[in-house]
Amino acid sequence: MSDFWPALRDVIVYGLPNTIIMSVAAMAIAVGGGFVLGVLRALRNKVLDALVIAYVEILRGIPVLILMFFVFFGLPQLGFNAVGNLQSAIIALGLWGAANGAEIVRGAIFSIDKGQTEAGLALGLNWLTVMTTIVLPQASRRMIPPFMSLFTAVVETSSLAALIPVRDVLESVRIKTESEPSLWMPLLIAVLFIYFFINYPISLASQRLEKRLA
Amino acid sequence: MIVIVAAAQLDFSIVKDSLPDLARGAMWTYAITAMGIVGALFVGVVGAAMRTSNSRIARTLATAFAEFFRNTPPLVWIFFFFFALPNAHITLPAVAAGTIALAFYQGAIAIEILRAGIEAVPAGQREAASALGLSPFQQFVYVVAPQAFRISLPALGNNLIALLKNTSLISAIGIIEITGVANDIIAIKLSSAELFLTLGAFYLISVFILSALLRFAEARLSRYAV
Repeated sequence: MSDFWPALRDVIVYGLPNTIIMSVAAMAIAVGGGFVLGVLRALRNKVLDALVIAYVEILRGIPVLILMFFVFFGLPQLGFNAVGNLQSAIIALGLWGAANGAEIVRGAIFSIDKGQTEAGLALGLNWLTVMTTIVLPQASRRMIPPFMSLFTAVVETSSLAALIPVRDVLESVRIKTESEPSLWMPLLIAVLFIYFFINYPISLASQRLEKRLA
Repeated sequence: MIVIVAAAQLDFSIVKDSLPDLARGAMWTYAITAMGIVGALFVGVVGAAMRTSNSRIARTLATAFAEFFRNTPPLVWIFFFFFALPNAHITLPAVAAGTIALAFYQGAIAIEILRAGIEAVPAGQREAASALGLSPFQQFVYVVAPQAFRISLPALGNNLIALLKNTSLISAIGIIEITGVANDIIAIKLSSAELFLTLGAFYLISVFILSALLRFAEARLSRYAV
């Protein structure tokens, strides 16, 4: 048990930065990709709609773990340049996050009254100007709570990277317990609390904000 | 162009050779999903009943359970039940540890969904049942619960679909379900892209079937809905 504190220090020093880097980078891809895909849906073009829907349904229909394994183990076999463990995890999490982000952005855009777009077009503004200066600023506010809960999901899902493996908090625990199996219980409880203290404030704030915006 | 070159390098005979093993893995995936659904619904119903009860202790316990599990990763819970519990002299087989972990995680989410469903049933329903002389227990079982379940079903269904996908995480502690079987084959044959594409298709089809079943259940339950 005396080994616990130094072990926990290593989990936090070496593992936590990777967990945070993966979550933040994947979330950036999710927001960026989500906006692009969501706005494409707003164009109401049948071909684009079909492509985006296919992307969203496939990425949300397969487990993220399979996607991560495919990016890390499968793509090099198909002649793509191999990318590192951390990059593979970020790519897989980001692609999955973007599919969820697309649904959030689409939902928010379509929740804005159609009269807003019609009024903008009637004033002679082009579609892109209407979208960027009238619709998106209003829709963005409504996207904040769901994007916050998506972030908590991304943080949780980043733990799967331990399986390819990225040295995140979970993989750090596994490394420590190789020589000292009795550390599994205390270290995993500590890791559960690390995730909880990151996610709980965000999900609480998301619920509060959602009630206020409603 | 890249896609065509890449596709030419795929050799699906490896999948064909492993079909019996993959089929056995698929059966386990479905069995674990079925057990997980039963477990998650049990946790969800008990938790939601506690969450909406008059007892402050029951409410606090259920809220703490739901919030803690919802905000922590299911994979860590799978590791916890499989690797950490032996420290406390409780050793579970991989299937049991994985299924319990997923039932608790998905059950915690179900608690919140069912609570919202119960609170969405108009107060007049309970008052009318009370006026007809039904006991509080009868009011809940015959009047509130059926309506709450119908209201909750779409969100509950998404949660159960997430459970199906999350069974893939159990491969981290054993090789019995389909993702674990595939990893085992890959370790021997050193060829992975074909297997992961096959797995992706397997999960997509399974999710499609489960969501079709859930839509059927929704339609049945709303037959008499006003």
